[in-house]
Amino acid sequence: MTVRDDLATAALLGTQRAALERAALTGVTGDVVHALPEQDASDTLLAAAAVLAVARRATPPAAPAATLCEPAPVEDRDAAGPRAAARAAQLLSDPDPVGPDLLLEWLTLLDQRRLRVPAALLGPVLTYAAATPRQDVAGAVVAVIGERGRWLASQHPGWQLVVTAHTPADLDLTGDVRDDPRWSHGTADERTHWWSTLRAVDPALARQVLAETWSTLKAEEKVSFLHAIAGDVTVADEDVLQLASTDRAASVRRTAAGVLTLLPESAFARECAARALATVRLERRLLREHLTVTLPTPRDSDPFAPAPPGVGPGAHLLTELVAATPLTAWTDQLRQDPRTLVGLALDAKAPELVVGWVRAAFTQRDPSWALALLDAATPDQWAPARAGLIALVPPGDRHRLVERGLQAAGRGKPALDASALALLTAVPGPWAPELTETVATSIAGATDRARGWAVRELAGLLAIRSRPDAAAEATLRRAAAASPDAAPALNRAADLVHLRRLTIEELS
Amino acid sequence: MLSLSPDASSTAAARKLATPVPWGSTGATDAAVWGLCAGSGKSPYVTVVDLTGPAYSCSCPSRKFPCKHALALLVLWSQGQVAAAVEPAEFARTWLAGRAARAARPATSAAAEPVDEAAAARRVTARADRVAAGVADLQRWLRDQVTHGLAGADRAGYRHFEPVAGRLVDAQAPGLADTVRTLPAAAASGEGWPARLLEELALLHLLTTAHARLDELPDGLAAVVRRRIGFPTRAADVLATPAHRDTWAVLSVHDSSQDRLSVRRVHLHGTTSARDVAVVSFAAAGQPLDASLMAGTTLDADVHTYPGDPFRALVGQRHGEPARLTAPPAGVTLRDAARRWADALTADPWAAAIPVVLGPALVGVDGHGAFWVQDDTGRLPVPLGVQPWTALAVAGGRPVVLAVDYGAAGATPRAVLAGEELVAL
Repeated sequence: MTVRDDLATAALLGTQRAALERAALTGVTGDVVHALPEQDASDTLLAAAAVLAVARRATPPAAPAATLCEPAPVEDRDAAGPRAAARAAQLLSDPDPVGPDLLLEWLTLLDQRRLRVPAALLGPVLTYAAATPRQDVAGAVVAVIGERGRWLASQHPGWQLVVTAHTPADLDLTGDVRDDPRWSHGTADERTHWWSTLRAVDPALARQVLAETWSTLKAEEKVSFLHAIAGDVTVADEDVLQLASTDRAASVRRTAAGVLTLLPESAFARECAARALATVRLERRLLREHLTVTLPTPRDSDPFAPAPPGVGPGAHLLTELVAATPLTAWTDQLRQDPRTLVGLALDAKAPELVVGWVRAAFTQRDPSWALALLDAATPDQWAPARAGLIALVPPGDRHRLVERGLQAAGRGKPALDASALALLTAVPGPWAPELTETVATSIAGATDRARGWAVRELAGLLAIRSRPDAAAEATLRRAAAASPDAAPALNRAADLVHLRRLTIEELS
Repeated sequence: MLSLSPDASSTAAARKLATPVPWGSTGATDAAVWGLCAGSGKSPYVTVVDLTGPAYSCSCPSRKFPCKHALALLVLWSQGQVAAAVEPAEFARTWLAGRAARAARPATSAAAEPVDEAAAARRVTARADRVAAGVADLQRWLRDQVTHGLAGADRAGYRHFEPVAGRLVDAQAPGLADTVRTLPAAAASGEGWPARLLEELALLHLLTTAHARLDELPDGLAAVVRRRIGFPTRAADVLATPAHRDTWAVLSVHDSSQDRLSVRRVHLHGTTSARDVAVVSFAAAGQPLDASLMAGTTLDADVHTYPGDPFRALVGQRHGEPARLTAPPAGVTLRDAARRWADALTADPWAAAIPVVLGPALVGVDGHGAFWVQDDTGRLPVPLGVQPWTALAVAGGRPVVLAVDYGAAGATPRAVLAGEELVAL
């Protein structure tokens, strides 16, 4: 027991119960207390405690017992200049919905210029990367933090997680890779991450390592490995996918089927193609081609997700089969071009076929099918689903399709609705000047009721996707001047385009 | 000061003028402030403020009352940027004399001044009596706490302490009231709380004991005790202390908020004297803080320290324009810093922190986010909960110079200097 503890105990109980012996006080405390005139016990206690308190405050407290980290390695990139850094600090705290996109552009430019984030900004950017749901932004941050950033993150568990997730694992291929502790003892995430890196370096070895351990994996581990495969699946992955498509766990079977649809050359795709093609017959009646569809019969072994409510099992199965079928199978077998086939399917009122083709066009990234599907006069409710295909068509066709989408929404004059918005969201940047013009004009000219939110969304798109040049800014300001209602949103978009120009200038 | 403003536009205009640049021939006594402000015209505006009113006089054509010049002058004066003078300047004397004459008239001639002085003295005595009663009341309460025992205080919450703090506010001892309001936190600090609470109570008790013997204490300590109790220190009294002229480096500007007040703490380091002082300023929440000192600059100026406290200061006369800080100052070792802190506690046992430049020193962090600084002479923690990641990032594991607030719980970095770069934290 120290004097400090004795005093605390006496104070806790109260001096009326536990009297404090003046004689028991020793050392500096005793010297001071004994020099004081005889006084009340509580005064003595408080005086002694005050002496100790000042003495304790004057004594440097104990520091953590950890050892210092080695100094950070030397950088191989220069740091961004002070103006660029100030801009990034501003973007990090920008509450605007397009803030993350502006930051992403800044980070990407920084990487292209082979620059890094200055040390003083590393804390804020890593905090941002660890918190953001935008994995693209987090990855862009990790690409530009430099040696100092990696060194700093290694001392902060939360930052280390995001850095590891966006950095290829460091592999030593000299010995047996299976002995790597990240593989033999790592967490599920670490194992998947390590394995993805190995797959990028030595795909054959990665497949072998996974095959050896496959039967011992838990269902959720299998699913995460399947997701890792989906990124760059090839025919060589067919064996493990085939195995997974007959797994006991439904989640594994469905994920495997999803990945297999990305692989038109696989036996699975061939089987799906055979079953899908068998449902369709092309007949010639009254000088016109007609398509008839017989819905397929589900099998117990089908690895597909169950049908959503309101959709029959046969119709659902047909969509799934079509989505997994190589698109060339249709043109080869039925000897018609995509545009004709889409028309025939619509005439035959076979939405299962069209929805399946939309999904197949996505996964197989087929521009001619994408164009055929976007050009077809499909019912409105499909518009949002197929809007994403616009990214696959040649830039020249995009503008035409957007104009048509805007016309359709306004029944003749340009207008905004959910499908027009979905279409524009899918057009990747940078937009051609004509597209910026068309969209800005339609915002300024639109009068329908849905305009409020659509204008804000579209103005955000205009800000991010337009070319960051003076012409785009001028286009937006002109459109703003034409419509007092939409002026705040359009001027804000113009301001953001201006900000992007500044950002780029600061980094060059 | 700006609460005297007639409207928002005057406030904004005054803020713009509240820099030493347009002003000349400024000066202040206890009763008045005056100066010449360069305007758009040929001759400067003559601005005089009678602080006893307050009343204003300005030669500008503004119909607003007080005008922006008078407001700006008051702001400058409140920031300690108006030098003290014995006699009003010639241009101010006429108007002030006229006011004094008018004030004297109703009180029938020469008897007026002594009456005023007596009233002022009565007010001072009345306040001193109220404070003394409040301090005695607190001392009784402190005694009661340890007589009856602290058991249960950890679960009593703020209700146990708030009435005491309230009585101290009524007794015009706001400093004591603020300290009492920190007691619930010490009581609820978990394992080992009785020792921590007792320590706080004992330091308060020491203050009450010191107050009872105020007349016997040395001047410096008496001033410290009065300030801790909550007697305001007049800027004029601080500016009346000897000036320390130096080229002062502004190392950090740190803002915090407490009790609806914004607090700005500026660390000044004398580039010749190596003296460190903190300039603390306050503003009501939402009001702008004094922005006359910018981190990363140097300023040739007179600095006046508070009576009894060599680490707190006001900036007096400025002798030039701020310049960019180019050479980082040299720091002291941890051992020397500890000695400085012990000396500071000798002068003011209740001191919370002093500004120190440490370095070259290393910054480290353990696996739980606990930071420390170290050099050849020792290791010191950064207080729990303070996480200077940016200091760590800028240092990169190499020795740096740190501007810190050094206190009983360790060193809180406020700025890091690596090479020519000063990074505020």
